[in-house]
Amino acid sequence: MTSFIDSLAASEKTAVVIDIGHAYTKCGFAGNSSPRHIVPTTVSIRGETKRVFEDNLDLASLRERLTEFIRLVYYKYNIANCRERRVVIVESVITPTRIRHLLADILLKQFEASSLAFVSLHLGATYTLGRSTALVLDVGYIEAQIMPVAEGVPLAVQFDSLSCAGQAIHKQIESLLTQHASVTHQGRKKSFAEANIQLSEDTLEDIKVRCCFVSPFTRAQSYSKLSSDTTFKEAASTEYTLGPETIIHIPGVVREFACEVLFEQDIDGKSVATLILDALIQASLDLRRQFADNILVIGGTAMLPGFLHRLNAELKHLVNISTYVNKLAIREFHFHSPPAQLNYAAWLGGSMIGALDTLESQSILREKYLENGIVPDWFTGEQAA
Amino acid sequence: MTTLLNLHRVKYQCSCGSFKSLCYLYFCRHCLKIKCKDCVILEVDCRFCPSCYEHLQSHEAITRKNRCQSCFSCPCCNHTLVTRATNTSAAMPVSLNTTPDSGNTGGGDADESISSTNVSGLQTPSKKVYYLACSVCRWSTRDIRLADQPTLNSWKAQDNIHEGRFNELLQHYKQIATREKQERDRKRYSTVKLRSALPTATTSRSSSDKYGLLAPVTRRGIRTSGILKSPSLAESPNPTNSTLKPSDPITEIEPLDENLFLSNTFDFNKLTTITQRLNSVEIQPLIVDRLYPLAKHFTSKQSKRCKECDHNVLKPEPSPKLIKFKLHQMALFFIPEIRIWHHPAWSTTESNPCVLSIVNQLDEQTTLKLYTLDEIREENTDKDLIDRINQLDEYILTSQLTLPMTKDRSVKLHPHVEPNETDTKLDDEFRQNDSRELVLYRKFAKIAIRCYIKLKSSSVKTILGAFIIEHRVVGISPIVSTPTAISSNPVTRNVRHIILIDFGPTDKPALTLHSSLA
Repeated sequence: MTSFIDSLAASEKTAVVIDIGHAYTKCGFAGNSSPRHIVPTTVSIRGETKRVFEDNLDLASLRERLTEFIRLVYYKYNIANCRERRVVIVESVITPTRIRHLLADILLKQFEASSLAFVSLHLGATYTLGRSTALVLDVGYIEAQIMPVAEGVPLAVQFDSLSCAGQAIHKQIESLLTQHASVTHQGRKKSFAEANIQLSEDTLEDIKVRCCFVSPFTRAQSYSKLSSDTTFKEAASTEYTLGPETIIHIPGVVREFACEVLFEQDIDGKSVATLILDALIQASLDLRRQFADNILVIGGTAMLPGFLHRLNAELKHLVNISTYVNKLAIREFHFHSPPAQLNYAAWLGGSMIGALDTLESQSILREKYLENGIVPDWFTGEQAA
Repeated sequence: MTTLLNLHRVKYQCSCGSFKSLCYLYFCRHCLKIKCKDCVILEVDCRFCPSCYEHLQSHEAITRKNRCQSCFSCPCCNHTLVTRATNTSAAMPVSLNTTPDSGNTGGGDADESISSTNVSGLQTPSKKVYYLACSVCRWSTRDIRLADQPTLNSWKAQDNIHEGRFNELLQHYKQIATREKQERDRKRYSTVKLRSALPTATTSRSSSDKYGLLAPVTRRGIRTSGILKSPSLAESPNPTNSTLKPSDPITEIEPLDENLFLSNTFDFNKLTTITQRLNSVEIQPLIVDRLYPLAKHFTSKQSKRCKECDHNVLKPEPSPKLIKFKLHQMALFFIPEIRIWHHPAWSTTESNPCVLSIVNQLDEQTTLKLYTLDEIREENTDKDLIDRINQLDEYILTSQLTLPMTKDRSVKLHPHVEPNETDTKLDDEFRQNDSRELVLYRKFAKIAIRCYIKLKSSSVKTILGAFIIEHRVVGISPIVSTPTAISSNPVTRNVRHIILIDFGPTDKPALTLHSSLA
């Protein structure tokens, strides 16, 4: 049964809400409770499928790919006319300026949308909770980004990010497989390093999604303190079929500890858990308790089984060790769960913002953009005057 | 076929400056220019289901969320699901199924031929029940233990469990936003009144804006403070009625399901892949047993419109079953097509003679004039064209293309004919007027011309040459509103197109020459 709100939203003039991530894009209409499609951010150029945001692309090819991708989003997935409709793009505060300018140029000039609004994904996520103060952590593909939002104001200066997210897990899977796994290729068994197989991103993602999980805190601790006489009950190994002739035997250690890269502290002592603690330390004293009670974790990588539980255990452990015990008086943390699956929670915030009357005051209007070509940015302080 | 014809070798320049093959270009008859995919605006014409061709109006389609009601896709492999029927007797406690359709292996029941009579020998009435099955991957609704439905088209879509909470939140924010907008409108009108009042009137800083200096600050203040200003503003006339319950923290975080992941019987094939999960956005099931048939998404037919003159360039038939077009202004129907016929083994110093073929796709006789780039530069009449040529020459071209005959190269082209046409009288007429140097071969709508390619330098890797053709097009004149204009003369004009030819790498062997050309 479609609700009253949905039928109101089902008109010709609803805004289109797009959340373009590095790996996946969520697209749909404003006022809907879920996006219409979640699709990989790829386009097929001359028969080959390529990622839109590949590394080291020059501006012209990026523009070509982005145009083709937006055309796909509008006419294949959303099936909506671009002219005369408003657009909401949900993005992070550190999106490169050239991508923002490209999007504004493509959407406002070439596709002739009536207005374009950039919404910060951390702010949008707080709308899904009904709270105005929260500490939002988005764990995506390229990086994990954290930003506190206080009384509806995103504190962009305290933004922090760390590149331990989906892509880091993929790399770790590859390196662990090289160390521990064996391959049966054409009937003969050899080690992974000898077999010299190149795993594509899609295969790595499939291994991550289906075989891997986040190990509970106690097990991870006992594994790291492993000595030769203690026994450690490994998780079961699996046989992953790569092609008609190749089977990879993935041992339990790879399955369990590939995601450790999120929680292992690197040279600077940072991990996903310390992101939260550092954000709390940087926050002003009166807000710390509020932030610690309202932590929101979103993003596709946060949907890994066991992620939240492990994060909570890590936080509780870290506040008691030397680096943090004197700086932070908080010993307990509370997490929230948005009314959405974690990978489109940010989109949902954008959908709510796109359905409000105040959308126009937050957007770049087409006429103004054609006049002065300004894309307002928190970083440069330009206004859409 | 594209490799046979090598379509990507010969490119025409669109009015926006990009080079594309002729088959990808449109021609706008009102502005008399070539348009490409990036110079046209797409508009959705018709939405329909790709498997049952159900055609819906746009507002209806939007309410149904662009999904078909009767067609479903398999959640495993994304092919269309087929509805299968079986007979079942209503009275028996265990349903014994007879399968009327042959070759059915989709269900999990054994294929026993049991008549629908119960133990006491009475015939119980057998009803037809339906289930969905995939013919490609053999998944069926019985795999997820969904009961067979007694009527067709009664498969319900799964509900989003968070919908209620989402609507609650949205209502709340909508109220705040409407109030905020009203306040801002009121403030705007109140500042106008205040400005016209005495300049010494004392007003609070936030609402007086005498010199426009505070406008950016106010705007920034409104924008950054968001819509979440507390509802206890002194000026708000309507208090908020909705009391929204902010979300509660998670009381007990679920630990990892150890039985599933750590046990020895873990089978990763029981888990869904990421594509299967993302196909059903709201539910995203983890295990295969939770997959549910997906309602098919609509596809659309688009019409394309020229940006400059806002007239349609391509307009399909509104019915989804017809593939014809109401308006079909493809560049292929207006501009002759040029193909590479022959090129010799490349020599870097001398002029290489090449043969190009020109095919006329129009239904009428055309006269085509050929120019080299230098001749256009000498003529010096069309500044815009010369600019474009110069840009092309500087950055892209690697060779110089010259044509035989010094001036007034015009060739007449026969209208496009059917393949079995045999009347050659017109051909012979044209042949008499052709110069031997330029035209090598002529047959109906196709001629072959000779040209010479000289590489610019010996370090050239791929050979790119360009020249210009000119021909006449008949355009559609703009509609004249005066009633006295009886006959509106169609606008005819000579248009010129720049053609870029990519002959390929320098070490490519020569193409074989057709016997009729030798």
